[in-house]
Amino acid sequence: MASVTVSHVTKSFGNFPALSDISIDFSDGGLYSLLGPSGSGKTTLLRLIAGFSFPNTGEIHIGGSAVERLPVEKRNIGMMFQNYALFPNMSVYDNVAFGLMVRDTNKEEISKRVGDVLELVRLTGYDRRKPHELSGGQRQRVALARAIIFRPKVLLLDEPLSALDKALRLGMQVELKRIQREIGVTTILVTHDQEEALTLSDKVGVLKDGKLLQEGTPREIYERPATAFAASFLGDANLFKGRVVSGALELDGGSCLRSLDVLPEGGTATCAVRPEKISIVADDEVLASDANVMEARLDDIVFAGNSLNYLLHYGDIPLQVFAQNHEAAELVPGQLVKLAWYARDTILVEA
Amino acid sequence: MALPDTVSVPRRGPSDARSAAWLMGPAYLWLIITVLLPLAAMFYFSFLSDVPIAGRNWYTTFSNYEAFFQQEFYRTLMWRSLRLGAEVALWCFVIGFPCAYVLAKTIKGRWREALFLLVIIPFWSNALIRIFSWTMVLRGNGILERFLAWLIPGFGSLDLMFTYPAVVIGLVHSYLPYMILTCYISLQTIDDSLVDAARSLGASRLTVLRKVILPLAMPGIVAGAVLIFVPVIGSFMEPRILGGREGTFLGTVIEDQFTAVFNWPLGAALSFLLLACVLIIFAVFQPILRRAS
Repeated sequence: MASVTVSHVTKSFGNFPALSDISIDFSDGGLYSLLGPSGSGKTTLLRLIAGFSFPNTGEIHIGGSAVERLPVEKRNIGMMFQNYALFPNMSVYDNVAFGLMVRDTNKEEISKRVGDVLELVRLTGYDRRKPHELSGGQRQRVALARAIIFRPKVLLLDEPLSALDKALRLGMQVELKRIQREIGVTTILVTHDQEEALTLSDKVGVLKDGKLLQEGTPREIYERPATAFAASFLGDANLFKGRVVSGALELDGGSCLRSLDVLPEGGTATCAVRPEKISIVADDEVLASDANVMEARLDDIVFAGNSLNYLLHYGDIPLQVFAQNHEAAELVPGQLVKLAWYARDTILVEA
Repeated sequence: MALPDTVSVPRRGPSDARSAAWLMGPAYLWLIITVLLPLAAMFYFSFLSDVPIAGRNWYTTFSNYEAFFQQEFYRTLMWRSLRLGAEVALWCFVIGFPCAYVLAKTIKGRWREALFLLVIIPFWSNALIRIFSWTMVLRGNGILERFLAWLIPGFGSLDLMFTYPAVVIGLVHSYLPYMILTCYISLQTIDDSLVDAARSLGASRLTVLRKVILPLAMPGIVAGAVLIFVPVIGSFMEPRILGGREGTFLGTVIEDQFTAVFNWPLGAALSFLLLACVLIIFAVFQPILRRAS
């Protein structure tokens, strides 16, 4: 096991800058997600850490030693690919044993460790099958077993769950986390799925256009997004843009929003509010003294089973409010509704 | 999701069989007229004592086949021909596989098309012209020797013309495109991420080649080898022109029977013995061939 340090790494393909000056610490034994839309450079970064390509400038350390000029086969990393990349001509056993076979491990040792790792991923008894005889979830377990059997220093996962359907994905998230905890390997996961990043990881890094926008625990990033992009890419967010007048955000429609953050006096600012933090309140309801209140017009109500999703607008700002089914009020589209939320849920973000 | 598919259930019935017969009929008729009938006629000839034309005295006999088993000469030639086929197929693999690999995995876009054209060009030129061009290259004081003498002064002579290697060179040139094309097709179906995966597991480039690429490309290699082996063991043009006195193979002897000696029955018998030999080889190697593809 080892920690991974990426410092001031840049990488460009021709004239296209894929990564610019990225520095991240991946702590020993942690599960770190790199989250970003396609083209954000997250896969490029993963492949640099793996050693499939080399950075233009900057350093990469694995377990304290510089590896940025070492090819992938010398780095002792385990990698799971998006399409699993199982060798179709080999049985499950041979696939899993591959990493030990190239390390000239003796036969008994290989057979014992393949048995152990197949037990760990709950595929005991599948050794003779070929990859095409397995389901998607089973293939994924084989790919994981193959990547961890030689006890790599780092485990790299490239969109590990994106090829599975939703029900299987939830089960595999739990499994993946269990296995990662059990073997305690430093794990770096690349995903564009914010839910995957939030549920799986200890730490999340949000990437956009080759830059690291923010990093922190899933809770920190969700509750305190630093940018409007991070706020709307991780979950949904209502964004309010306005002028700062005497410490509050004055919107075009006249409403004033208070925040616990210090707003830049005299300029414009953007604040984000999570849809589930906003409540629809009755006209006569008594509100906390620091609550933000606003009247918005209801456009539509989307029924989503356990919750209701209200679509509204205030001036030309589109708004969303989530309410649990049990607390939903009887409302009709077109009417004005009163919204309220705490000042502490109004987060100042970079536009 | 999984809706019952009521629309595209294929109709099976007499009309299906009839339309299939109409569509396949012409092709099979053509094959019968152009391949099966002449082959049957040749098979009949191989049991005759002389060419069945007016003024000749002929009867049915096994003597043409017996000649093969009685005379050491023919068996030596058969062995030489099989060896030639195997050697040419091997050289085509050695030269063609790396070329196919680079075309399939390294080069992209317009360059690939241009290089493909160069691979195909031997197909477009006339075989005789191609072979006679080789005589100019290989003959004593020819293009190759002059080039080598220019490169390394006092190189001396190679004496390649009218030798076994000259025949191999000519045949490899003629049949190389088959190996490149079949290998290219099977290499292209190999997902690049398999190579990445093998490397991430710690495999060196050589191990990746041995354990991943070669096994997965085996169908193409086997197809190419078969496509080359079969025509090469019956070839006569390259051995005759480039091999001279050294270029005596079963193919040239068969051709002699038809064109020079006018002993069609013997030529036909030798042809069928060659065919039988090929079929036996394929039957013996069938398990390996099937596993490979």
